[in-house]
Amino acid sequence: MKKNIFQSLIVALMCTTALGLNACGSDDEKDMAKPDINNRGVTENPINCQVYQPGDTIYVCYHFEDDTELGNYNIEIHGNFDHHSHSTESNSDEDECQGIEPERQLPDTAWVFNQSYAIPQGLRSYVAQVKIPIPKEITLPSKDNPQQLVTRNTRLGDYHFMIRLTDRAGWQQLKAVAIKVGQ
Amino acid sequence: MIVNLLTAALMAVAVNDSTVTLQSVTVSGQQRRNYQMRSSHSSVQVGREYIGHNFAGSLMQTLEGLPGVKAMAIGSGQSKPVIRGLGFNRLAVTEDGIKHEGQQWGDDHGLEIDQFAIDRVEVIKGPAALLYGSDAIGGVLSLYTNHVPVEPFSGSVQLFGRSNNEQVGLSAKVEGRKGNFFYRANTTLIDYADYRVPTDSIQYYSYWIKLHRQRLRNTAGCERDGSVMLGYAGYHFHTDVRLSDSYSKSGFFANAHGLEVRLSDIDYDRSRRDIDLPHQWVNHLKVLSHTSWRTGDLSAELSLAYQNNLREERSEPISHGYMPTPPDSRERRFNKSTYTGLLGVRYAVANHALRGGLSTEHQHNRRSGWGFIIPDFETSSTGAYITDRYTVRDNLIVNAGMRLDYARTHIHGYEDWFATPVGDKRVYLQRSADQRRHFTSFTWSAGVNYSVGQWVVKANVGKSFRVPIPKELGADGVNYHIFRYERGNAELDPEQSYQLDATFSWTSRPLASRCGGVVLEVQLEPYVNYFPNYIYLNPTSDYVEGLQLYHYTQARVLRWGFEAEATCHVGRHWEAHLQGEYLYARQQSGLKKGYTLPFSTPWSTDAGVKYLFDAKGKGFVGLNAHVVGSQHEIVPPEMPTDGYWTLNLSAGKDFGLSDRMRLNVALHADNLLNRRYYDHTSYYRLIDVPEPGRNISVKVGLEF
Repeated sequence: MKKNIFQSLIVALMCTTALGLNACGSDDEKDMAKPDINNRGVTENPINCQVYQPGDTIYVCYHFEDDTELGNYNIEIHGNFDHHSHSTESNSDEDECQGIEPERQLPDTAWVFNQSYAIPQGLRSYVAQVKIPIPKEITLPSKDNPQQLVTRNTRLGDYHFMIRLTDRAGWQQLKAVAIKVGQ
Repeated sequence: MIVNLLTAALMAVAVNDSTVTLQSVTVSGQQRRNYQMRSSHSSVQVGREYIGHNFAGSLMQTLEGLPGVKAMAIGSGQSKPVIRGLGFNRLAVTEDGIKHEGQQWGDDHGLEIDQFAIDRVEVIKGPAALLYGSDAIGGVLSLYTNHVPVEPFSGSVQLFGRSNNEQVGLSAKVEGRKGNFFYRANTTLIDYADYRVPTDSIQYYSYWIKLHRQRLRNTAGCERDGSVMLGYAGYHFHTDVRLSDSYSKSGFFANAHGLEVRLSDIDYDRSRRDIDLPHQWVNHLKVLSHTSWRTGDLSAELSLAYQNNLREERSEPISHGYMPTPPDSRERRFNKSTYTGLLGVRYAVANHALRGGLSTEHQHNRRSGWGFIIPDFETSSTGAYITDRYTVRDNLIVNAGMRLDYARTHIHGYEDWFATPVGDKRVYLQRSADQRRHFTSFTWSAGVNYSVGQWVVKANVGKSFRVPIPKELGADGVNYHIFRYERGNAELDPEQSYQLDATFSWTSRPLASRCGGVVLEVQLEPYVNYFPNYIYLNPTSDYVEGLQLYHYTQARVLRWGFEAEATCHVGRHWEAHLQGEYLYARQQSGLKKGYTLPFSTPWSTDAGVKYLFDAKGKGFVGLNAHVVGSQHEIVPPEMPTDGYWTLNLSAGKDFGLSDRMRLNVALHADNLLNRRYYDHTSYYRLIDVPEPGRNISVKVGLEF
């Protein structure tokens, strides 16, 4: 009998604690879905294999959407001279829009673009429209004297255009597109 | 007097590692009861025999069979311990009572202990701050290597291998005793090739990676361990000193590490056994000294330790953002020294077993290399505790204790070694501010052990804590291991945790006398755990330097769960076993209110049957089905994981070659059906790498 009382006491105590603490938080309204990057209602740009020239402007246009609330986004453009591939590209004719000889080292005259953008709060749907000019020249520290800056022509070739998009909850969606500068 | 005898008897059980062994027919109800009555914590103890028989490739994988214990795969076939869903700095790993101090915060940093030198393991599933201070929130993995040899000379040689990553290893041990003096020496050498997974390609951070012959490029590695111990074991006085060194080197999966996921000049597919860049090597040197003195009702123990953990992570120098191409491959180097001193006194008076102690620890960490992740720091902590264990009656023991800790941390400032253009200036950005923090923590614990008839009931309630680590306080930079920007929070308070856990254990009387009798053992271990301020790395919606910002915050967290197991011994030959576990976790405040915690353990259950026999030495064959539920309780950036089940075989046999020589063979075959599945609690889950396919581990040991 004593044993039963003792056991019931412990079980009861544990249940009360669990339920008591549990009751404080409701967990039905949490955002469990990633945001989406698509072309709904817009003509998406840039698209795979698109060719630009140095001095051109990339008119970025994509539609973002989330079931709860969008967060922020980032656009990054990096050289793809080594021909790595991204799973979010439309992969089918990828090989055709790449140069022939892959390079192992990233040249220091490769154009690097990396910029983050805020989306106004409270939106579930947003059209990102950004103008990105492609520089004709790259400024970099001189090899002989790193304090001195020199300018060189922008390296032509394969680049990747990447969009990263978050929602308010911290889910992230990525989209990568292969583009070309020059040639 | 009776109490003293009982205590002595229990101590004897504790020291002799072969008496209380799990899942072995030799465990009688009485021994089981004795072990259960020793402490009010939920705990499991395994001896050398269990470790030997259940050898599954590595110590953590061997221990993974225990309810509530998981091995978190961190790559290269290595794993980290997780107890009831908590790992990293939320559990303490101790070796002979001294907390092991490496860089345990790291996602791909392993145990750095010679697992073949371990005699005995005890897993405490719950807060154990009273004895171990900071970090022992989720529990303690206590490893013991201090078994005192009884024979003038004995030893063993073990050869082992694993099929998945073509691992081969050798471990040798000699030990002996002359009068009261004894010695022990161990060495272990392990070599393994690239880890194999049942897939041809994986996706990581949107990159599409094709695998060569289903191998994770550059995950080969090696390990070299050695230790020497000398000691004196008298009746009243015992002293020993142990010097050990553990070195390991292993490659990082080349496609999912470093600044850019890209090709390199290295031809990784040339050989599956070489270690190219990127890779890590770590050397852990440890000197441990234990001295104890005992007379009548009083005993005192002094432990002193020095540990040096030297780690390097090397990768191909690549320019990134505004960082120019670094001069060499040394991306990160950490040199951490830890000095520990523990003084403990035990005193038995009337029915009370009193215990008190002081502990002090000093850590000194210096970094170098071109990749910044944690700043230099020094941390000092001091703690004092007192506990009483009161034997009310033979079958009712209560205990209580409290502890006070004081810790100081000095984090050094750090600025980039390269300049970043800000406006029209070029500045060296500060990544970590110089800061000094101090923390005080008061912790306590109380428990009861009660046995009546075939029942043993235990309950323990306690508070534990964890001092924030410098990474949580001072990080401010890109974590290239996982492509995110991590920002520390200098305002963090010590993490506190309250836990109530219980153990209900029942052993039947022999049920049927035919076929040798049937004995049933049932155990249920429920727990409730509450954190008023869990330190959580929160994924935000912001971008910093082109990467998603993760920011350290604190949130209320509730967790509860249980482990249950039932074992049925039928006669001398058959044993059936069923076990399961469940864990629930919820963040109850903060930006992720309503979400679970990262790497939430899904429910799982194991059903196994074992045949034991004795033909010129003990042997067994066992078949086990491991069933794991799906996990949809996730938090960004995780993905839901489907459930799975695997079929596993284990077998072992002892052969008596002569009265002094024994040969034993252990075989473990995992995932017999070669199923492809993902483990939600594996670090590799985040990068879409499935768990290994069929894998066979074999160990042959010769004891003399």
